[in-house]
Formats: sequence, structure tokens, C-alpha cells
Amino acid sequence: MSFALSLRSGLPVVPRLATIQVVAEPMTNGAMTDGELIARVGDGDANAFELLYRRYSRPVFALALRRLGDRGRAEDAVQETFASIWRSAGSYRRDRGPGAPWLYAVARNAIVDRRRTLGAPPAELAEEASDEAGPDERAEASWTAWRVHRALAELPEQERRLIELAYWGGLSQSEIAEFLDIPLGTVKTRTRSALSRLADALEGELS
Amino acid sequence: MSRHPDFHDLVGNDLEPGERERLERVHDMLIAAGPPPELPQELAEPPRPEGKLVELARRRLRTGLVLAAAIVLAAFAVGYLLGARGEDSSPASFTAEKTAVLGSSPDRLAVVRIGQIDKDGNRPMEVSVDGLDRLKDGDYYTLFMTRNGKPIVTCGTFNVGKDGVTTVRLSVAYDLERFDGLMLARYSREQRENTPLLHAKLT
Repeated sequence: MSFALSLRSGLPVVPRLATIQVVAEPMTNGAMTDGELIARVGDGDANAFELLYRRYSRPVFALALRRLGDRGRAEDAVQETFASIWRSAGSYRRDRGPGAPWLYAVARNAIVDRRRTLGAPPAELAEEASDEAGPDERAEASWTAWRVHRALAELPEQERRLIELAYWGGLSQSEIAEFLDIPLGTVKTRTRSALSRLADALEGELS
Repeated sequence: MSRHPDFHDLVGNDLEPGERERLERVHDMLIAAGPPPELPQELAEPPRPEGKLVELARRRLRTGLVLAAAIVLAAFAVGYLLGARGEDSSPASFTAEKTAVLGSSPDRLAVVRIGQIDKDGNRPMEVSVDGLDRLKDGDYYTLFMTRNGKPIVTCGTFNVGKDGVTTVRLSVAYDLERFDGLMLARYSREQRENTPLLHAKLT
């Protein structure tokens, strides 16, 4: 028996709110930017290092897994990446750009080094959507995933959960409303808010 | 999962064209990015920032975790057989409110420990498995919460090492009362479907 997660609850359709006010707050509301954290790490601030790790450990792991195709090696690459960040944060210059691309470059280099150490060719593992894509397309896909995963990590929990249920849980908006026991209008409002926050982040510091 | 949400269903039809375009770009990026993988337990805490990578120490830790997982598996299997479900004697860092053993054969087993909900509404969940095949080509295992045998929501995805063993820490924010079971399934990227492997009632 196999299944593709797909639920049809037959719930009555709840009329959509005519106007939904979307309030987009900055992703880094009240928190330090990546660039500020990297600068502090460069000064030897272990607390800033931990904050950076909380933000970026999953995007780094995702990138390493995508490129190395092996969880054990990807775990090692994550450790090497953060060791490298600790060592080289002093070289980061905020006036040359935001922190996300710098961190991506450090992670990518650590992963490439890992591949070299293993004697593997420096090619990226083919992904589902890019079996026929060239290196440029694959690199672009990796960079997109990096930014999206980083932006997701900063969403409020209730919005991140909605996005995960909608995009990777296979649930429709009605099914999410039923599951979370909240009105369909609230699901739509929060979903819009989440997408707007993600857009702000992806157009801003993470661009 | 196997289907992507419909953008119109997500945001409705009353957005300004510029905002609609902006959000649709994010929608496309989310689909392109796919879900971020669950972080292995070994990476749950940041490394000590001395600038040194002590890989052997980490590997020893991993070996220790595998050993600990085996001990936990054995302990829970015994507890399960003795009808001692609900009692938690594991050395892990949270107290299990519920424990479920998926599978009946010691050759292929999953033990799921579910902790108490915290003040933010999150529950830690630890999954220890043994005897599973290491998956390649983008395939992975998914743990579902079920109702009447039907998978309702995912708790997370993972893979196992060459030895077929792993322990991963997940977090869920679900009301457990809404479910009555757990299911471990194998997802095939090529076939875009899940194949159920192990089940357990959640009591």
C-alpha cells in the first residue's frame, strides 16, 4: 500500500474575508542582523556565534546534504563550516555587503573542501528539479534554498507552521483550518502575512 | 510532499497586482527550495568555538549515541513488553509523556518518545530507529501522526546511517488528543509517494 498525503475533509467553504490587512514587519525585528552577528563573532563573541548557529545550522546542513548527498558527511561539513566562520569572521566587512551571501560563500567553500578531502569531484548532487540543469542553474537553486530556509527560520512559529503544513504537509487551507481548529480566514491572513514576511526578507538582507 | 499548494487558494484574489506578484515569487521559491531537513541530534548544539574541528571526538559521540540508542531501544522494548508504557527511565534530556514502539520485530523497530509541551506550545520528540535501510537518491523516512490509521501530519523526515540506526530529535506543536497513532513511512522521490512501514497506537 502506498499513499500520497492528500486529505479531503469535505468541510463547508467559509467565505473569505473581503479585506485582509497584512502587516509586514522586518524579519530582523528587534534582533541583530546577520552582518552584526558576524562582526561580533569576529571580535570573539561566543554568544553571537551561538545565535548565528541557531539561524544557519539548518540552511548549512541542507546545503551540505544537497551537495554531498550523505548525512554523515553533511554533518561534518556543518561543523567545518562553523569552525571556518569562527576563524574567518574577522575578515568580514559589512560595507561590502550583507551577511547571508558571505556565510553562503564560507559554507560553500567548506563543503567543496570536504568533497576534495574525500576525493570526490566538485560537482553538486543532481536535484529533483534540476536533473538536466547545468552548474549555473544548480548553483542558483542552492542559493535560493539557502535564502528560503534562512528566512523560514525567522518566521513566527504560528506562521512557519502554516507554511510547512501548506507546502510540505500536503494540506489545503481548509484542512489546515480544521487541523489547527482556527477559522479559514485566520489561516489565509497568517499565510499572507508569512509570505509577506518572507518576501521582505528575501528582498532585503537575504537578497 | 507530493503536491504543491495552489497560490490562489493561499492568498485569495483581492491582492494588489504588485503585492500578488511579490508573494507569488516567494511561493515559487518555497516550492523550488523544498523543506529544510531535520537537524540531526549531533548538530542540535553549536560546536565550541575554538576554531578547531575535533572530528574524532564527534565520531566518538556518535558511536556513543548509537550505543545509547540501542540501550534505550532495549529498555523501552522491555518496558513495552512489561506493560510499563508511560514510565521513562531513559537518560535523554526530556521526560517522555508518551512512548510508542513502532514495529513488532527487533530487527526493524522505531521508538518514539514524546515529551511534555513547553510554554510556547512545542513538544520535543525523539525518534530512535534500528534496522532500516539507508535511503539514497533523495528518498527519506517520514514520521506521521495518524487518526484512524490515516496519516494526517508529518513530524519530520530523516534518514539512517549505513548501520541502519539513527536517533533524531524532532519538535511538534500538535495537540496529541487529535491523533491516535504514529506511522513511519518511506518516501520515494521518483514515485512521489509514501510507503507505510511501521505503525503504533498512541495511547
